[in-house]
Amino acid sequence: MNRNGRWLLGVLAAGVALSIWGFERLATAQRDDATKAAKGEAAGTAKQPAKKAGPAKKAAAGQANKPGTKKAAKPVDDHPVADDPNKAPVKPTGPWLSSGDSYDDFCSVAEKADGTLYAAYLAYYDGHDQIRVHKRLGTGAAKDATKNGSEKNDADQIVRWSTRTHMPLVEAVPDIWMPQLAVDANDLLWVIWSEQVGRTEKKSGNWDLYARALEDDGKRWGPIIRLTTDPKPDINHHVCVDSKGVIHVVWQGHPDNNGDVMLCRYDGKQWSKPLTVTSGSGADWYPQIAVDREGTEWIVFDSYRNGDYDIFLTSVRGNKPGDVIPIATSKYYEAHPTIACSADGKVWLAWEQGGWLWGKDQGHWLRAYSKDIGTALGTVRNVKVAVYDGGSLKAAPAPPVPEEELPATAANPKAKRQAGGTAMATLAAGADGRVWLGYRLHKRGQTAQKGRFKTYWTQNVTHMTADGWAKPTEMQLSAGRISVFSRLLPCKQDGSLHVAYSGDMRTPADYHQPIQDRAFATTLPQPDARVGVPALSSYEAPEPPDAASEFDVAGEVADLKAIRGDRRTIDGVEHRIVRGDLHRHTELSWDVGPGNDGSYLDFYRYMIDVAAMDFGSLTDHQGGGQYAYHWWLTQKSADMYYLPPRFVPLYGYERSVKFPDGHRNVFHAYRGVPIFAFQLKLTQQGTFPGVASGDVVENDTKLLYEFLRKTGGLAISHTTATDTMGTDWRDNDPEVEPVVEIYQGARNSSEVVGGPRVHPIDKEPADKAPGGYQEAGMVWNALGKGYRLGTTSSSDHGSTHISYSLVYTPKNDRQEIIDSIRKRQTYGATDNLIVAFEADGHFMGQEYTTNKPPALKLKVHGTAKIDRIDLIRNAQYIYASSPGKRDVEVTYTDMEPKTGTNYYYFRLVQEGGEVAWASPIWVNFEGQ
Amino acid sequence: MKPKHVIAAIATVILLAGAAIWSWRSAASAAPERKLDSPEACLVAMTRASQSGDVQAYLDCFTGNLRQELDKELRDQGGVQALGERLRTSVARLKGTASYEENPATSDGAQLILERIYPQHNERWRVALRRDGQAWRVTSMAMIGSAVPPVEYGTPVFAIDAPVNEQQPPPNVDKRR
Repeated sequence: MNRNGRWLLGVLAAGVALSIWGFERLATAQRDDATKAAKGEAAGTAKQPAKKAGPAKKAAAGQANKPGTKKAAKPVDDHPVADDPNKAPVKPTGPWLSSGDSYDDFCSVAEKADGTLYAAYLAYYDGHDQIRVHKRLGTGAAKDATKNGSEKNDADQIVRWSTRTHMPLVEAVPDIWMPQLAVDANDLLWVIWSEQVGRTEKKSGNWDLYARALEDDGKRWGPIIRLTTDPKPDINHHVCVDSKGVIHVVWQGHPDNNGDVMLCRYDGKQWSKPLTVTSGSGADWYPQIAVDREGTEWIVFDSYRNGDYDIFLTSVRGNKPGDVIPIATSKYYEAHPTIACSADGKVWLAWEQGGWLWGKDQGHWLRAYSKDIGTALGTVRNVKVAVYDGGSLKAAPAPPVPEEELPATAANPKAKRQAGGTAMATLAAGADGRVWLGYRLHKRGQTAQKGRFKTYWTQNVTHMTADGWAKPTEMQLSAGRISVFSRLLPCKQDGSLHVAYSGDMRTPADYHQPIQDRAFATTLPQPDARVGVPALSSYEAPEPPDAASEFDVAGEVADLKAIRGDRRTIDGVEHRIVRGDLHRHTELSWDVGPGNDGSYLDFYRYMIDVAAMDFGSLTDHQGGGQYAYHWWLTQKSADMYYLPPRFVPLYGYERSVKFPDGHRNVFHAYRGVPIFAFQLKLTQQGTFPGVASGDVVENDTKLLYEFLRKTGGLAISHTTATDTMGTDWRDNDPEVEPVVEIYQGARNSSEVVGGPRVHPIDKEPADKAPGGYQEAGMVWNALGKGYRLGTTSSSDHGSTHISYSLVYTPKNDRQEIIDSIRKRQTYGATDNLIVAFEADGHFMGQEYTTNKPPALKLKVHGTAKIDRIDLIRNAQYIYASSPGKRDVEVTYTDMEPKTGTNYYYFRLVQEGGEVAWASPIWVNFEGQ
Repeated sequence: MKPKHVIAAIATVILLAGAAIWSWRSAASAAPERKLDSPEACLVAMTRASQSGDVQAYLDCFTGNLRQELDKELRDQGGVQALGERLRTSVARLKGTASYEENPATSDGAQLILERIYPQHNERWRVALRRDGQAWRVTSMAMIGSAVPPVEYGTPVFAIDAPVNEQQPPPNVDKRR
């Protein structure tokens, strides 16, 4: 090589080196930006480094930002707390546990006698659940991080965790619920979990509790021990360990298809048989247990036994359950309790208090007439704390809410309803007498349209002092859903606290969009503040809201008994009516999600207890934003609350293609069918839409129909007469789209211009209609085009308890319901009416041929007097009457059917305005 | 078997199957008139018989004195053809009938209101029926009034005034494109 060649080579090498250096700088900058965005925004990281710290505080320093690093947007120190004696805010230690290859949830920790800490969590990985277990290896210098792959924090200390181990489960491809850790009297680590066993492609299995110990100094797993055998779900368990090392487990069993509290123990030798703590017709939910110094097991739970959710406490000594003690029994939503027994023998309780008549009547038409007596499932709730001591209940302070999350400004009076709530409380009591409280905090993100805020939830921890709750610590990277079950474990070695939680990495800028669910275990150092409790006064039930409404529980019970007792023979087979809601959203929907609609778990409370539905479906947008873990949770929870014949969940989601194609809810009778994605054009900027799209290809709906035919699914159009979500009825396939949601509780009826609960276009302009207005989408236009469409009615965002899909089916079974809907054996109603419509022995939804004048028979049992009956044939009213009775049976003989196809249906309006729409019958008339 | 025998056998089977299906369908469509198995079914059969001028089916819907009066009318006023014609004429302007119980039926007696639907009004008749073996038959009928219905027969859909918002986009506008 000559000199020029060497020079050229040198230049090239320098160029390559420069490029590599530049590329790395760029990549580093991008990583830093991402880290700052994730950690800084979500964590609200404390800035002060630890001083004069013990081991826990040194570990805590691992979470502190280095001096000079970019400041977090909202430091946790900004939280206002009265008279906090703890000048230096506590700082969490410890990195995340997740590896990044899974979606992680339900994190739990346990500590052995020597202080060895274990963490476990549920990992959704590649179409199944795993339980992953880690062991904390202690703290070390930052340089070690590169050797063992542990997460490095921003300071010079790290907390090292072992690599994960997968605990072998009952099934190879399992469904898992709430794995929790405990250490027994022999210092063995136990994992206690609920697992669905025996699920097949077409059938849900059974959920039972199992336990398994890590034996032989952590070298092998012991046998799997089945704790429950009841053929109904055993779920929502809670584990505690008493001072003698006895493991206590309480859970929610369903021997009679409604929740009962069950208990078992492990004394270091054997697991006891399940003990029934509560039973009866009232549904009991989410029990939690703590054991006092006398060995009494205290169990708190919430229950619908009084017709709304209340908090109850009971105790067990030996194997004898004590009395059930009412704790919080107002008509507010009082649920998700937690319990801890403090060293001084007191029983600490916390729960969340939500709206008045939670889940009762809510919706557009009721608001217009001030008849909306209930509150939506996701409305503001706040944690209440009380102390039960020697038979009296004392009120403790509620955990503080940061000022910036509090209501409300004159410019934005709705702010109060959008954030500032607290929920999902978790109590723990340390050996030093300190009481800790964890909870989810509802926070505002960036401002969205119309002055509303984007909101999300974070995990916070505080502790009690003589002056009240200390300044809360917002846990790092805890932003996410409301439905996060955190665990608090006071450290046996000192006064610090181990905290296990999860978050989905969402940021305030995109509050609605989960990035990846991850599990975290960390340790908060012993607070400087002395242990103490302020003076407590007697607990007083909360005052009802102004103009509080009442609800006729007995009347609804009677109406439901009538519906469930109705039997009708269709084509020689006995049918019953099942009553459901096929359009409900939760926190898994990215649009309203974290606020108004509540958690995906509260959906089941509402459906089973409050609305007393027989069937229904979560229909979050794209199964939760085309986010794999949300769809997994949706399907898994539909298996977990499969309680036939009491309640049967379908697998569903909303597929929101904008007008004129239209929104549709999609349902299947079996699990595992993928979400049918939007068939997008290459015109949309940004991420794949998680809520709705209009940029679809011309044959998007036809492709959906093809998909549904191949997978046995159904689609149901909704709000068809809106100009945002509706359709001009360009598409229909009677096999897979046999019915329409003719009325939606959140908005209007789409039946016909001038019909009941249709937007009154002669009185109000179109832009006053929620969701917009257009007339091509009226259902009468679809019927006029010859579509064979039956009727259903369902809710959508925010609406509750005013819209029902009623289906005549041989039994309350997923496939039978789907088949019956496909046959259009349905009607929609705003209340619990019984409607049966047939013609010459052909039931509603059917089609037949005759050469005789059709004889159409309607039978109705109303919840009030029937004010009006209309019979519609081919877009004309042919009969109307005002019977003024609750029970009506009328037979109409049509003397002038047109030769060819005629459709007929009845519509009913009660005194008080409740409405029902029977599905049509199509009569092919061969006469003249 | 020769091919022509095979063809003949197949043709016979097809003809027999066709006859069976025709017979089954005829029986199915004719069944409601014959059954009279409820008070409402009796009134449906009566209306259908009137429209078709089927005198025997019409008379079969009655019993007791009323049936005797109708038999007498049949004898005195021109026989089957004339009565059939009168029945057809009597329902020529009729758009439909609606019947419902006025009082809960007993095991052997019922009282129904029969509304006869005309273009601008409805006639209301009180009809008494009694169980006659397996069948229900009319024993008396009396018109009790006439009323204008809440909505006239045949009122079409979209029969309201023009919308307040005249700027409403036409139904088929595709806002997406």
